[in-house]
Amino acid sequence: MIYHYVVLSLILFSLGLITVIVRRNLIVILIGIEFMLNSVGILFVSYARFYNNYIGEFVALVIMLIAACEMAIGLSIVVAMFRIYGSVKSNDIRELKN
Amino acid sequence: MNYELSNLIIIATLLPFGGALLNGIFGKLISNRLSGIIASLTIGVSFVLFVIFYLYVVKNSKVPYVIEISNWLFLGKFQADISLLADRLSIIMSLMVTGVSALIHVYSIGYMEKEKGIKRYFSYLNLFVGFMLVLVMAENIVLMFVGWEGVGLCSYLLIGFWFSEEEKANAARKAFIVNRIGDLAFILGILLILSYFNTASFRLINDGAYKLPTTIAFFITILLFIGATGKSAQIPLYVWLPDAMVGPTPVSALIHAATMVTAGVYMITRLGNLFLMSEMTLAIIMLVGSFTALFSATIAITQNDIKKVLAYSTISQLGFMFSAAGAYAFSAAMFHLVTHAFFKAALFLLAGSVIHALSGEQDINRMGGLEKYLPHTSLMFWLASLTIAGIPPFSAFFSKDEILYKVFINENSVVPLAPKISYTMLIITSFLTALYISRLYFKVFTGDYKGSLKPHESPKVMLVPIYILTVLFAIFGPIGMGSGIGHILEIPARIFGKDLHLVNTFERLVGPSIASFGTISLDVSLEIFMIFISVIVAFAGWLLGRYLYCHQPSPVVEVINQKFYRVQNIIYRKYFVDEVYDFLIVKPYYYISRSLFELIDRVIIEFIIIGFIVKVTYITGYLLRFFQNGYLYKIICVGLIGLGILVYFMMGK
Repeated sequence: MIYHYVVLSLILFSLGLITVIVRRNLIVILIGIEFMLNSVGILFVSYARFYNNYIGEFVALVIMLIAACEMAIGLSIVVAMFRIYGSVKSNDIRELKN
Repeated sequence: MNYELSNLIIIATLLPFGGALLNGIFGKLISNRLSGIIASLTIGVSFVLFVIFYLYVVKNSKVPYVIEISNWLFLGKFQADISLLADRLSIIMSLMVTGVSALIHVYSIGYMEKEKGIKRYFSYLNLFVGFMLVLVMAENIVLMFVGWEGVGLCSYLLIGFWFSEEEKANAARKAFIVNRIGDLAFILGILLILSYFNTASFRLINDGAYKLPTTIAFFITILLFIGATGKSAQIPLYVWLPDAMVGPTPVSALIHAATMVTAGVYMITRLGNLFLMSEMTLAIIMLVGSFTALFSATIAITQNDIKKVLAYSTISQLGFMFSAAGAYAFSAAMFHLVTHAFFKAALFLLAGSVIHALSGEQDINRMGGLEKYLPHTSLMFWLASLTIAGIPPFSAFFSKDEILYKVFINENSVVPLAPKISYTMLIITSFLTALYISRLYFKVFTGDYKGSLKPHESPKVMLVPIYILTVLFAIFGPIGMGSGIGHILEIPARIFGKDLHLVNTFERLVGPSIASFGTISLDVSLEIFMIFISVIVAFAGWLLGRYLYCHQPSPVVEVINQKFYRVQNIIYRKYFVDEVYDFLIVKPYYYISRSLFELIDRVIIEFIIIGFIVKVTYITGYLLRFFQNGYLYKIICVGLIGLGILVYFMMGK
């Protein structure tokens, strides 16, 4: 029963991870991060159902809340980066090297 | 122990360091003149404190004082503390050092007025006096070594004061390196002392010296003596002193005539009982001293640089002191040390005054006739020349005569002939001394002026210190007069039934603190006879110099110059000692160092060891560079791999 949910969550998580690694567009990378967060949310909700423990659902809510905040901050960073570098491609921004 | 008095001595010893710090650190904030005044004041106050202490010491016989400042070295069985020994010997030496230094500091204010870096100069000079006081006042030989090295350092800094000129910087290096050779022997001597006495304290060494086997005593003393030859410019390590004359003239007066170069004599006097244990060493000291005196006096006759003449004269006079020390006439050596400090410092300062007047000219062939232009300088130079020539009644007559007499009556059981040989060399040296100093005086101050610049007399700030020194060396002599002359002078007093205690005042003054070797039977008539010899010799030398050099150009001198051209040239080139040293020591050393550099440094260290390290670092860096490329996805990949490894191991458990 739980198996399907876990597989769904894994698939979603992998998709998100691959998106983050493969794609160069910062906005798409943010979407990939959102995918991974939501897959974990699904996992929490399904396990909460499975064990009849509602705390898991609250955690899922908290994750959604954090995801919303993170998205707001992330998008504003992307906008700021676009203003500075004139690009939203991750390959053009290699400040981490230094 | 009197608490205030010991504080007095500590303050007096540390004051010069304070002046050095003040001038060295806050030099930028004060004017040139103020800097000189501060430097002079610190030394002057220090001098006054020593005078106060001296008066106390003479009144109270409870010397020596040991003033413990703090613990310092605990090494195995022995311990060396930072403590000062204030006895008559060290106080008299300190009085001389601070007194002469204070005068030279004042003189420097005038002499160095137009120089750059005058604060640096005064800072070094103060530092020098501080280290010299540490050397003099040290209670143990390890602390003395600190002062010994400190004055060497200051000597190096001050010789190379104008370090931007290569010749002067090289002279400074030469002085430092030659001193290092002597210091190596000195350290070995100290280590031997430490291993045989288990103590570094002078008093304990002197008290325990009689237990020492003769061979050990010989090795210890000869090593210490080699150390002394380095610092006090005796053969074979004298070569640095003439070169050191490139430093400022007041420095030559202070360090290379009056104080530092006498440190060796002081050290031998300080360890008198130890040196008495080895007659072999005493004979060597006596012979080396008198040979150095003779050797450098001959060079002094031929030199044309006014300061070089005085430098060789200093070496020669130091030879006198060492001869006296070798004849265990330590008080005579100390007395000549003090009188020499006065008249040689005065001579150097006068030479500085001449150089100042001629705007830097040092060649005596381009001087002459300065009597008219520099009346004060020439008068005092005349007095100082008479003094060093040994003409009565000036101080060097008394001190030199005392040395000659003590050397003559000395008996050395190991080398029986040594005292007589030494005496012969010294009496010839007396003649040569009178000759070279009269040559210098007449060439510089009489005849016709050969330069083009108009000379000008020095300012008062330079003349007053020399006047004080002149008074000192002119009247200081009778304090140390030997028994012969003393008895002559006491005859009128005896008639009136009074004993003036004129004889050997100086010896009685320092006597309690230095070693003596039983009572030497004094032969008054012999001493009076010898006084006549030395006076005749001195006058002969002076008059010969006057005959040859007073009226320039003299036909006699021309003839001598032509006939003895070769001999003169050899002496003028200083017997090629520098060249021989260069060939025997410097060149081989250079080639050995060079080949070691090529083999060990270039091949083994640089190529093999360094090369290996470089390759390893390069390869590691090459591998690690992959992770630091700034691409987001690569960084995430690396993170994922790490996560994977982590998870794998966690699952495994």
